[in-house]
Amino acid sequence: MAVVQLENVSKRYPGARDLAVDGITLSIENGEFMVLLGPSGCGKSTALRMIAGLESITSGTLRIDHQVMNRVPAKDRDIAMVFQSYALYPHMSVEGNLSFGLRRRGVPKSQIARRVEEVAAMLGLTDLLNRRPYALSGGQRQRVALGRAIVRDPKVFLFDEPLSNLDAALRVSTRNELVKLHQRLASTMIYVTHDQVEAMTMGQRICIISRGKVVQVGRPLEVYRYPADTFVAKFLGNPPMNLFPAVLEVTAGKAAVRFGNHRLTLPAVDGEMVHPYAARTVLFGIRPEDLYERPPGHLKDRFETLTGRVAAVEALGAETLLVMGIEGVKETFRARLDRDCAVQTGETISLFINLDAVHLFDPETTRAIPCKHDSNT
Amino acid sequence: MHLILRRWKQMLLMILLSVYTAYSAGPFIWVSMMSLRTTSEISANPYGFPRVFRWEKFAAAWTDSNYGLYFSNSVLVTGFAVLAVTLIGSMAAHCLSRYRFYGNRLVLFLIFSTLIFPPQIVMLSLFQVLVEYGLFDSRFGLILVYIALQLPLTLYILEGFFSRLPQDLFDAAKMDGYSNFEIYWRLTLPMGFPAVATTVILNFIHLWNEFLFAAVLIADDDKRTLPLGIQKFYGDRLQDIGMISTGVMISVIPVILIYIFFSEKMIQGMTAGAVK
Repeated sequence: MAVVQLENVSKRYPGARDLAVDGITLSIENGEFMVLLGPSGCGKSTALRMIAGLESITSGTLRIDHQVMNRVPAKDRDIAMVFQSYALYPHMSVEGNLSFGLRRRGVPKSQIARRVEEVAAMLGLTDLLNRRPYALSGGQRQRVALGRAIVRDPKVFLFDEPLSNLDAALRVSTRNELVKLHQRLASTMIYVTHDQVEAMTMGQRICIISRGKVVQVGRPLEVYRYPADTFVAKFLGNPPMNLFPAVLEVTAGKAAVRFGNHRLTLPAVDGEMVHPYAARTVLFGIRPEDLYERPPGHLKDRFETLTGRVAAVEALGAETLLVMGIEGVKETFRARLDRDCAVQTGETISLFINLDAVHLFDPETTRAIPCKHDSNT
Repeated sequence: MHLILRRWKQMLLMILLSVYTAYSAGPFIWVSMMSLRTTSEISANPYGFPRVFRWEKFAAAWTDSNYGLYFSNSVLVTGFAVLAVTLIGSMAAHCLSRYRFYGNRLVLFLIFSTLIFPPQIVMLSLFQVLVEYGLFDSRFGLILVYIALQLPLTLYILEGFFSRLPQDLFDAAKMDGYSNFEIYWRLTLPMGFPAVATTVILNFIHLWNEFLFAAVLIADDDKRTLPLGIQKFYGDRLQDIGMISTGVMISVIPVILIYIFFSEKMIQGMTAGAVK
């Protein structure tokens, strides 16, 4: 277990104009499962590799257990890493792969054998010890990669998109195994992924990275419900949040938005908090699951209707996704409705908006506008 | 109809393969037959099958015609040259494919660019350099020349193969605590063995049969390699075909052995990555 702290850490590759990682400041607590989430090329893997010692740090400080690690070689950081491609040595057996790191560290042979046996039993690899990687399935290789990290008994585990090469079913089961493993080992784990489902289900906290910068850090539901900016709002959630420009009106401390031929009052929004944006265009956000065909009981009177023409209906079995256009609004809306929704393409439909779930964003900075008292924004 | 057409196609293919096999293997079989016949027997009937298998010709060639000495010279020169070029080439290929440093591509280009020049161009200057450094007419000098000759091709083949090895493997080894040399010795070489086997075979075959540089840079009969030794039997007016054939067979055997030993790995190397 260890505390990992990044203080304004940046990385610029030789000859590159832009920073791959730009001033990341992040603290991962003892025994925490932290997920670094972001789109491809955002710098999350580079950040992970800097923690591992596989990439040099251009500026900033990395500490592990309060000791500066910037110039410490990878082998001396007491960190184990599970790679996306598993990185199993093809010319060694499973037993050889598991024991390779321990042999180098001068661990006695008897101890190596014992630890390999324990980890193999933990991960169901006992019968596979004599096999070579080419004779293993994807899931088995993944377990060997995991075993190689566990057998080292490191302070910190690093995972670089370890599930991305697995099929969907195996990904779900392996995800659960990793969560259980974390509970069993109680080690500090830093997990990189571009898959929001993995992030939401596995992480105790998520750090969202975009273009090398940290955009938001928080608990999964916190980040989902209270996105810090439009990037987080659209990145998390499938389908993504509906975002479109609207004019904010504030009258006698009460707020409303006007767009197209609609005017929606916003009872959950504090008019005083959003007063600086009065009579200005803001970005109005509402998640697809906060639009309803019929008003749910728990909303009581805190809903209004949105009328538009259905452009497409996607019946997925467990739910129905609706795409609709609203007069005067360029962007299309997406709604997630019940599976028994009978709406047809071309119909004009009125959907109910949960007014407690609206979000407002500054169109220039893209940051969320603080507008409610009972939220993080 | 379809079946008949297929049969015809198969028959045609068999005929073509048989012709090619006869074309490729024929000269070899002919030489091997001649190696067991005397020169007079060959003159009387050049394509005849040996009536008496004269195995004593091999012993005679080995002892009386100095083939034993030429053979050991060839083994020494080729063996050390192939070993050195494999070690140096693989180390260089590992560094050039794995490490980012200023001038990486320039070094690679400079070494590759020497492939452009035909050996005849460098012969005169090479001769003078070896004379100046007292390496002319020495096996050590010839070894050095052979290393320089084969290094570009070796580097080309190995650098291309090593660069395709996944970087994650080396990162994992780095995190496990292995030094750069250990990573080269314990990972790159074993994983790159198919490519290394390929270069060993190619280098061995080329250097074992190398004649031009050996002819120019070796003067002393005691230091001759096998190709030069066989050339002794070529006279102005007379060629001892029988002994030449015997010499050729003696020189072919190590090449066949090396190929048998390394070829499986070479084929692995050629097909590696063909199936995910």
